[in-house]
Amino acid sequence: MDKIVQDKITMIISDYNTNLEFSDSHNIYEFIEKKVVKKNIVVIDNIKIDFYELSVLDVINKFLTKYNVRGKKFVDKVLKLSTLPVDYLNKDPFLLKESEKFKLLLALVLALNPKVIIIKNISCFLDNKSRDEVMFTLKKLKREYDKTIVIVDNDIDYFYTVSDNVLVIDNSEVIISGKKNLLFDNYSLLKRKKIPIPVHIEFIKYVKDNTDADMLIRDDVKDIMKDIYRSL
Amino acid sequence: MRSISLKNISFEYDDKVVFNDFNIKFTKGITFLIGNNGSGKSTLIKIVTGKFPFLGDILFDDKAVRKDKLDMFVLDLDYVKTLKGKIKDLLNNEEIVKILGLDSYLESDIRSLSISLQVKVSFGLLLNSDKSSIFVDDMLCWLNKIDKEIILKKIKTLSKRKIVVMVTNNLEDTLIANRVILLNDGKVILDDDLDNFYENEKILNDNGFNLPFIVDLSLKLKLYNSVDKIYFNQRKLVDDLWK
Repeated sequence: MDKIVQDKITMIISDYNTNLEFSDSHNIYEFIEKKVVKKNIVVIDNIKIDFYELSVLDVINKFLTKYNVRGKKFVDKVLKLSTLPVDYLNKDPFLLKESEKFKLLLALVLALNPKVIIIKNISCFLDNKSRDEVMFTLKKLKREYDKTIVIVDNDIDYFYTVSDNVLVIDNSEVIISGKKNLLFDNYSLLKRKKIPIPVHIEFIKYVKDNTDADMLIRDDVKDIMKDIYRSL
Repeated sequence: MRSISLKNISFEYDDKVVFNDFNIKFTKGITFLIGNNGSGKSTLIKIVTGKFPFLGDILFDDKAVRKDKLDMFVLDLDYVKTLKGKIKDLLNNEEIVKILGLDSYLESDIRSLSISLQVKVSFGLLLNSDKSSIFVDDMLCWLNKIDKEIILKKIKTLSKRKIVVMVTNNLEDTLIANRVILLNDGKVILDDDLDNFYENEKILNDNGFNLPFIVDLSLKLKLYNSVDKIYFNQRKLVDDLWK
């Protein structure tokens, strides 16, 4: 964890020999017991949570009792962290959208104040719209609460665009760590080690190798287009 | 098998109507189903593959077929959970083991592997199967990009003689499709071949989808008349642009 920069969103890219698996759980309390907080690290992985309480407020209160956290302040904090509106307190949590359930879960564990949040494989559980909403919340958390966020996900093309940094692991060893453009600088190494490369990097590399275009390392299609027009 | 037709399908779940008088026909080639959570794409797969009861008819080559006679490979998480035993006993095909890089796991019990590796083995079994139709319910997200490319290339070859229907949320996957269908609330919003499907940028954006990188870039370049079509291959776009 020392290689992951604080207060940033870092995407981990790894090979298959590196085990980044954690056990899964469908019970929020079991989940919290298993994964949370002892080391100030929360891991949210392969998880599809269902809440069985009558209302979102009941979920928060049960959590509050279980972890001896007192007061209305906590409820307010959870709501603020989750970015869910106040009228959600009375909603049946079972009927929340997947993204809303995810945000509620995230807010509950965040209210226990971990320093690092590791989120794994959300692309397999959330649709694009929900994933964008969750990323919006995560960026806000990073900015306003100085949280360190680590993403482990196979959709590296998407997460490349929303991460600040990357950490590349091969055979359980960190081989690249730092700003995203290091992926471009280490292109040959990544290819040799059969590590997946984001589509933006692949494109820029191909243009640079096959034309005289002066392309910068970008993660936004509009910026890439501007570089193309400057070079044509 | 040449076609699977769903006729007048209706299906309710928890008193909610998911499909009402729904019709669709799948033919040889790769069809991708996309849509947000709750759009009905996985339910559709479960209906076709006999996992959910429904009202209406499903015809295979225009004939009704008994559920236990369905000639299809269905890859979903339920399937992965049924797998037991050593990889070498499950996947007895050297070529597939090699291209998927599973050589070093042959002695491993599948249950001891990470879920991503279990899914990779499952795709190996799919490639090794002789079933005439293939249904993949949102499983590509478990594969890393390199393995996904290898597997999709193989599935593309199989699709010349098989009906392949896959669910995904990642539009980058659809670049090998013959046909893409966007579902929302149990209704078909878009249903077209790959070239025409991505002409509907606004509808896709309104439904929360980010376009594949190369499609997005070529659509923007097309807007300024720098290219005259949508590209699905990076190299072709670069070669044409700098020609």
